[in-house]
Amino acid sequence: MNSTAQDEITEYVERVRAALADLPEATRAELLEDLPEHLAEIRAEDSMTLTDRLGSPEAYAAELRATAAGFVGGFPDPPKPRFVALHEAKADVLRIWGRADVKIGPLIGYATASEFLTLLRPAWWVLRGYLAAMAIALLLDGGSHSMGLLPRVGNSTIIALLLLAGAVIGSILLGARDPRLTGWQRNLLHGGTAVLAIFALAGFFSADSSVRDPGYQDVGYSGGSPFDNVRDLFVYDQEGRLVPGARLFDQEGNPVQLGDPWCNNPDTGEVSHSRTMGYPFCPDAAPFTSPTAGATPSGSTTPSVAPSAIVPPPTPSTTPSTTPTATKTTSAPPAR
Amino acid sequence: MRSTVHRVDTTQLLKGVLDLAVLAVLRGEDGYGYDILRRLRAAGLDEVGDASVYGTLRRLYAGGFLNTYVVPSDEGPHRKYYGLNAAGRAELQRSGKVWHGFASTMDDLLRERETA
Repeated sequence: MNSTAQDEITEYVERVRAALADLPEATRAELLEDLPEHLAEIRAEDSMTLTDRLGSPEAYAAELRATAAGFVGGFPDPPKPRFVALHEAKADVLRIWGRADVKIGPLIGYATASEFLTLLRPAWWVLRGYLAAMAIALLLDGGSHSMGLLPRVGNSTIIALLLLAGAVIGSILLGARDPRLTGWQRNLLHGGTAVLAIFALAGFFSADSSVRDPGYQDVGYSGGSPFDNVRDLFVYDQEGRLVPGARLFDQEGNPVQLGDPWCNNPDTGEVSHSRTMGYPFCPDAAPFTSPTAGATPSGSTTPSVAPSAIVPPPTPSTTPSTTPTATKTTSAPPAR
Repeated sequence: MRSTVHRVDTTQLLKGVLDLAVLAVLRGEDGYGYDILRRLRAAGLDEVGDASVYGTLRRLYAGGFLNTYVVPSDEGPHRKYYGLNAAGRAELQRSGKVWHGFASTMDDLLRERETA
């Protein structure tokens, strides 16, 4: 290229630069960085001068300024290399989805699958509102109560319904505004939605498992059973006599195991293993004694009394149905 | 109150879609600045200016939608070629969809008014 053309380019660029003097330095540098090379390409096209082909440098600058008008404060930073890989992966996924979209659509009676999914959008907004309300309730409540199906805060149903209504309405409004959101607002919304979806999955699985297995319950074990406090069992016959060596069975014929076969001697404080078969484990500890002892109201209404199990000396009580071992135990000295 | 009326002309419309137009002419083949301007004009966008194309290329490149490389030329200076990268293709697809939606909305709107 001859020096005249080079001078012409240099002068043209300088006048464009001067016309853009009011732009921020970074923006101007970005705009002008390649301009000399670009003008050199144009100048090489034919013999026309730059001004003949492009108009005045000031007009050129004005047009250039207009292309940068959307970028207040300069150009966006180019994406970093790791994001390039991400963008390419995203483009691949989009391509695969695009093909699947067209294939799946006709199967469910729509042109594309996304057309069908678009129809479901408002339903998702409502569900999203519900999930948001549950998440808020969980945060505010700090997990102090177990979660039901309503977003209760401090067990209040009113707050739950207000929170639910507010969240659902908010989610619908956000959904309607979504296409108009840009930049960080949009990213924030989509990021929050992703977090909510993960929260929903976790909550769904935990709710599912708590419904299927509502806590282990077995008689004799701690687990909310009403028989937790039962240590021993005393059976009285219709005469008000304590039945020694009683056995308990459920409707299936399975023996019922309640309490534990250990006796506490109230005098010595000693604890010893029960020697009896069946209930009571500790006949000495019977809550109701014979009316002669005048101890219990239930015993007092009964005309005849149970002589056994009141006094420490063994009573030769008549127990026809009991096994020999049971008889032996009742006649044996009471557990120490 | 004349100033409040936005008269539709190609220059005004072009401002909104120049990015898309540049991405579109680069879809098939990479090109250098003046070459891209020629393609746009050949396609019917007569009013597009060189500064607009140059500025748009700079902006798209800075935005990460284009890659660039220099090709030596026998008869003149080196030429800087621009081409679409993955992000550029994705942006072309996305913006293209927006444009189709917008254009068909405007078509419907004008048709309704004419038949009414």
